[in-house]
Amino acid sequence: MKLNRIKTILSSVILGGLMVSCGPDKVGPDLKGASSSFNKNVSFSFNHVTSDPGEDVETETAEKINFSNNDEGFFTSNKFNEEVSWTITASGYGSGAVAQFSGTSDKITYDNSLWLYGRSSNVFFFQKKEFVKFELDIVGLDTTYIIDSVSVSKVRSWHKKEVNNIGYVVIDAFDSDAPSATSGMSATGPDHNDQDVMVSVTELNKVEGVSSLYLTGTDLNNNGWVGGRNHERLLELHEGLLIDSGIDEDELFFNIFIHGDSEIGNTTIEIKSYENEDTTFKTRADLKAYAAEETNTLTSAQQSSSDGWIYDIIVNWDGWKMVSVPYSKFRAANDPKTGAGGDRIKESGKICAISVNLLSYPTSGSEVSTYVDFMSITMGGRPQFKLK
Amino acid sequence: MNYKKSIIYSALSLGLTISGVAQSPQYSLNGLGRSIISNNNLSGASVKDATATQKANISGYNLFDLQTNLDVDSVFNAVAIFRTRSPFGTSFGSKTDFEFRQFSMGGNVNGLRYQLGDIRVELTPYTVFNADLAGTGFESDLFSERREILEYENFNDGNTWLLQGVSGQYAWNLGEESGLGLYAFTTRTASTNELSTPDRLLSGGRLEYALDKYITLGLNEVSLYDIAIASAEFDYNNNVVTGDFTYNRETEGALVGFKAEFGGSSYSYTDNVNDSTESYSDMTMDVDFDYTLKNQGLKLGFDFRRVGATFASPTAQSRRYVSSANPMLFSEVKGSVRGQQYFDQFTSEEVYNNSISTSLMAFNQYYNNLNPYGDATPNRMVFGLDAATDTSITAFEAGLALNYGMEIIGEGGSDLRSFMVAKGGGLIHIGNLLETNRLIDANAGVRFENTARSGSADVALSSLLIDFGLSGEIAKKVDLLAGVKYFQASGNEFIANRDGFNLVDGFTGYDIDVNEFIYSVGARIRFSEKQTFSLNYNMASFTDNNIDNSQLNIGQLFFNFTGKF
Repeated sequence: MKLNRIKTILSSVILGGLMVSCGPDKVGPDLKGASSSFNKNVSFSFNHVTSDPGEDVETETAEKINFSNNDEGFFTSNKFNEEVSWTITASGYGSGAVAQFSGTSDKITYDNSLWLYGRSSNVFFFQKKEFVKFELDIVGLDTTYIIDSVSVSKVRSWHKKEVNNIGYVVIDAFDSDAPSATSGMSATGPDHNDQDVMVSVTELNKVEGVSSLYLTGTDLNNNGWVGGRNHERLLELHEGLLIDSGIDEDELFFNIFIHGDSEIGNTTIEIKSYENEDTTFKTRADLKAYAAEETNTLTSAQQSSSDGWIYDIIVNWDGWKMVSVPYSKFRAANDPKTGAGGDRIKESGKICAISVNLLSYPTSGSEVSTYVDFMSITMGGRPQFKLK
Repeated sequence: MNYKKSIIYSALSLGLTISGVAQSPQYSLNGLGRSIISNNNLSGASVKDATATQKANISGYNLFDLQTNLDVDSVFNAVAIFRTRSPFGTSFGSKTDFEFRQFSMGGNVNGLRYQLGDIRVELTPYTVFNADLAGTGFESDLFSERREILEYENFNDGNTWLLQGVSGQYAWNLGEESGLGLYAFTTRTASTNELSTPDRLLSGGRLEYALDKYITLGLNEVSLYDIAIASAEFDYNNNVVTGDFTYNRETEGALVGFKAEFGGSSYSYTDNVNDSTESYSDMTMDVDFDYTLKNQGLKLGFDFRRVGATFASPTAQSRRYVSSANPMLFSEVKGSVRGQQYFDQFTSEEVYNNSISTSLMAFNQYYNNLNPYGDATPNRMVFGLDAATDTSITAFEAGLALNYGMEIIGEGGSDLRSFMVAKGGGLIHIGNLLETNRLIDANAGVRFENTARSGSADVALSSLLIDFGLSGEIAKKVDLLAGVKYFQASGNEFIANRDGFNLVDGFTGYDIDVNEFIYSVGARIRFSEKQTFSLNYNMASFTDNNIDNSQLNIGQLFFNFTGKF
């Protein structure tokens, strides 16, 4: 193995040497500054593609941003009198989201400024009803061209969409304490023997939508668990058969945005998936039919004969961060009453519910606190919520 | 360990001889104690009406580093530095921190010198090297003593990096002043979170062959790589291999030295989140020729280096100074973060870095545009001429260096930047000239840099740094000290923004016209060679000429007692 490593190192360095003579002729993208004769009379606008995919492209100048019906937005300008390097920055006033596009050309068009799905360049998502400022900067010019206060009428919904062969299921955006019955986690479970436990949505800190889920408390009884939130009937994901069956456990990702504060030690978020392995259900249709009945739940008996899978995320960073965990990293729950009695085989099609829990871990007994937001599951790869 | 010196010499002279010596267990202590108090105030037109901005504070700390040295026998020894640190203003031990600052074990087994724990690593300027900051080289003692505090706190020792791992060294004496030496190390620079971040290891070494007492050949290799885990968000791998040749010869009237180093790097980074991989390779070469006139005490040098635009060597390109870090002293001015001034470069502990960065760290082009990442700065071809006095002259020291460089590949187009740096200065030991035992020194230095590029994105940036200092021993072991620094920068430049693959993905242009005048006066008492007390007053006055009423003054009364034993 070491010999292979040495061979790899030597061959790559030799290859590098050979490549010197045929390397790139410049570093980075084109950089062309405006000359003194540049015509500063620039028109600049934001547009949406209004036609459906496959049809002849139709566009309109947009007074509002709407990525709900149209995946594609883009910017346009008049033809400049010379080729220049430019950067367009879209900044959300409320969300803190920023998206950047740059290029070198004598005109800004669909081809060089396409904005897909309203994605941002940083961790924050653009929000519905917020105002966005578009700024066009041209290298060598003091002038910034601004389209200010364009409102976001609708944002893209990622739920049940497929992009680049990756399927998305939004579990909960944590925008309400009472999400719809068929999606979202509405049941809150505090540890009643702990102190000051709160599990509630809040508008104070969020990365997507109008709010996030705030989890806090002191693990007074030293059992490590402080509180959590879960699907109420523990069957909700089967009602819409949201997760396909047969997905490789390395290709199924549980994604959640978590806000960290490194000064609050021992904060850990635990994600748990529930599988329904009741052998009376022979097909997926049977599982769906059972889940569709509003009075049905994943009973204690079913849980004790099914698998529960757990993953713990120690929150040791500062600020918002998306954590993406493949199903293969989940470990089996060890409480026979809550999902340790299954076949210990991860079966994506049998995942019927999710819970998110706040733990005092690695050390129990601590005062812990964090925010979580926009939980999703992706099938076929990690999510691509952000501009590259 | 510092491997700037020959590993053959080091291993043969220390390792093999010690291996045969039996010794009884020995235990010794040494360390450092320091007490610092600073009384700071903020003034100037920019904060004249800023009633909500803090304009005065007092801060400082006491610390004591106790180093224990245990030599059980020649096979095993251990060193641990235990630190006690208490911020100024606390009492009865409250908020006092206790920590092991450094810990290592080592020894010699049949000639194999080994070390475990915190180890110092250095190879060559293109493989493993912690480059110095740019300056005139002739600054006042007042400023260099402040800088030494920062470097000590940041674990800087020469051009080494302090890392955690294991190293070993062995040499074979081939007779007739010929020898073969081998040095290898492995360290961990980042630990896994068992999910998205893999362990990152740094491994490398040097094979050195001394043909005779004049000629030495070396082969250096260093790899920084991730230990792959299935759920990792990225997979990083970077390798650097160089070979070097050294020739030193002494004639009747001169010393002749020739050094050359050639090599290449290969970089690979896989972004598992976005399912993309980037890899690239590049080369470097460096030739140095030195000629010392023994009778005149003058050393002349010529050097040439060429470093490819995508040459990647994180352990040689990581910077010890973080230009983007926010200083804690008056961290907020009128509701905004106070940007760094030149004064912070040698007075703020927060702006220093002691870890290896896989991406090229940001830098301020107006402080140093020619070689912000040391000699290994990518995309540079540099010619240099220098002259300096050697150590045989005791009355004065002087040096002059001229460097002309250019990019190899243009950034954003075919036009290339050119760089010109001239620096020089001198230190006169007036006490030696007057043949007194008193310390009377005067120093002056200057560094001028100019960057230019023509074409559609033209660049014209110049900067000037001037140093002046005086030291006078007015009574036995009591010195009066004075120092001045003047920094000025003006023009325009473009910052290259880099993506996660370390590749340039955009540019941000800016104009600059700033100057900063720093003066310091004070006194120092040298109780002994290792114990000093100093008290000085510093004033740093910064002005951004592109902004009205921008003057910002930081005044600081600085008390420092440092004792080593």
